[in-house]
Amino acid sequence: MTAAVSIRNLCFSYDKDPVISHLDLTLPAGTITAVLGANGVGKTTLLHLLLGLFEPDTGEILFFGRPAHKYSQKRRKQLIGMVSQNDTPPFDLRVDEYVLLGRAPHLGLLTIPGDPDRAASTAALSTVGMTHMAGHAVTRLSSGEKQLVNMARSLAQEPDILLLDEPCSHLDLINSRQMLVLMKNIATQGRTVVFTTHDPNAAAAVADQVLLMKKGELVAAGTVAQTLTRALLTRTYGGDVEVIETEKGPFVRAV
Amino acid sequence: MDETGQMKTDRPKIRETGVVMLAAALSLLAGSVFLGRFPAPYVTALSDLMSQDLVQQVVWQIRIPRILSAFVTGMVLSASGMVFQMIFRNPIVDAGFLGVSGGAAFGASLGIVLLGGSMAAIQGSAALFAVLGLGFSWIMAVRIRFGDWILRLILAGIAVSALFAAGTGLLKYLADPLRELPELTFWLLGGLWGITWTDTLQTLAVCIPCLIVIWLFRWRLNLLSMQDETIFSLVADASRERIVLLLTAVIATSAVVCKAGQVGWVGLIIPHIARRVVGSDAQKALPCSLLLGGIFLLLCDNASRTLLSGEIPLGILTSFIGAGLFLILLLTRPMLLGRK
Repeated sequence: MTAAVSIRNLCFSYDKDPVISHLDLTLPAGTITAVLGANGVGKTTLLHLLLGLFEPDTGEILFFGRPAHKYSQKRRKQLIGMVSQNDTPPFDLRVDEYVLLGRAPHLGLLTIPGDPDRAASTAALSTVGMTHMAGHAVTRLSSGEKQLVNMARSLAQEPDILLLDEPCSHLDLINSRQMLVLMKNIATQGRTVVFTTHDPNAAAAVADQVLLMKKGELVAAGTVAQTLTRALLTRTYGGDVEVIETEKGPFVRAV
Repeated sequence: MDETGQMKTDRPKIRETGVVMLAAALSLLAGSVFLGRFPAPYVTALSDLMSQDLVQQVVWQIRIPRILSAFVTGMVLSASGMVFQMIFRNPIVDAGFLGVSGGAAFGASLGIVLLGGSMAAIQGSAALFAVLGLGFSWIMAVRIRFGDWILRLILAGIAVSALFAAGTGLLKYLADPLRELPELTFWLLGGLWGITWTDTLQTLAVCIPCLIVIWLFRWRLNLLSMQDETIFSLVADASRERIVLLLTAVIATSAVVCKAGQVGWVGLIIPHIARRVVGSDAQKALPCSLLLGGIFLLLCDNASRTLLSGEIPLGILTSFIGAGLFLILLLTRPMLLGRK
């Protein structure tokens, strides 16, 4: 399977405080990777490094075998989409106007979006099941609806790699489930999804690969079965964790 | 927007609104030619205009350049206000909050009191200090160690504006009470009473290219109002786009402020009204804001030069009406400030 993302000996620190040390990782195309860890261990930083918002101290990141720095900025924006936490526009944009912003990397500097761009954003809205909300104000949506609309904006970008920062935070049970199903569908279409989460059960539900991060180090990387074990999770979170095996996979809870 | 959050704007309706507003703007521009206090108060008869040389001269030499200047000043202030509001992701900023207007006022006062008072000294000094005002606010905001970027920028802008206001106060204190102080006071109150064709053409030469640049970026203003991470994931070089737009807005603002003086509230209130008319998408709201800004300022200037035998300072009218409209919008639409 082609590697969408290859990370080689990646190190990154904030003011000499190491956040990521000597990380080596391969994310195959069309898979879902969950990044788990306690608050402040560098999960979002890893997404920002993949996005290019931060430059690594040492090491390199390759997308589809090509070093990240060899992509033009514009091509990199077409390649990677990101949905941040609590991402809301400050003004009352309509849902369809907001989703259309995802087309920016495909447009020239002063180009106004045209019909093909509208078609792409309409399709993205349809993928997340929010077509009926196209005329509503984004600021008036519920948290779950906003998260779906943000996802649609990123899908309109038609990225090969989709980075999601805590996509299920602030979502209720049903919306969380809907978000996970959506991620699965997106990966089925060949896109590579990387998401951070505090919930090991969300990772267990959809991830092909799980990264367990602790301040400055990678505790483990592997399949759900390899990583969501009591010993590794206890080490990751620094507190006792119980893993209950069920028919649908492991169920994790703090003890 | 209705109670369910459904926005009422749709494309054909917006096009219709645009046509109506454009027609209103053109009618107002044409109609303003017939408003004034010469040869008789309020309305100039077409027969007088056709038959009297002096009336024709007044209209051609004084009224038309002033009408054009008023319209362009309104367009520039409202377009710049929208640029500032969107780039700083804050619906309650305009040039006045970021040290630009305060800097221009100080610069003009300096030109009147210490640099000889020539038009070139006043306008050059106003433009220079407008840019310095934004620059100081920006540098201070970078150095403040608490709060998010918007809060830091607003706090820095308030502090820099206050410093410039203190400097302007000192210059007023030093000004010759018979010669310099009246000129300075009237400039600070804002007005277009002395505008000539030369002034108008100078204003147009600077402002039209600036307005074209802002117009070209109208859709991208939406992108630049997003969170930093989102902007980074969508825009190749957002810093460059922000700098181009901010510099363009400041240059255009200082170009009109140095001719018209302090004309407050237009940049703050007009973008809000435009968003209310056509929605918040800057692709539509910016053109609407341009037209509404031009219409609003021309109406105010018409009132300023026509209502009384003496000139009513334009800044007093715009502040009075602008602040009133702002209060009405706040009371009738809490969402104005982007918060539920």
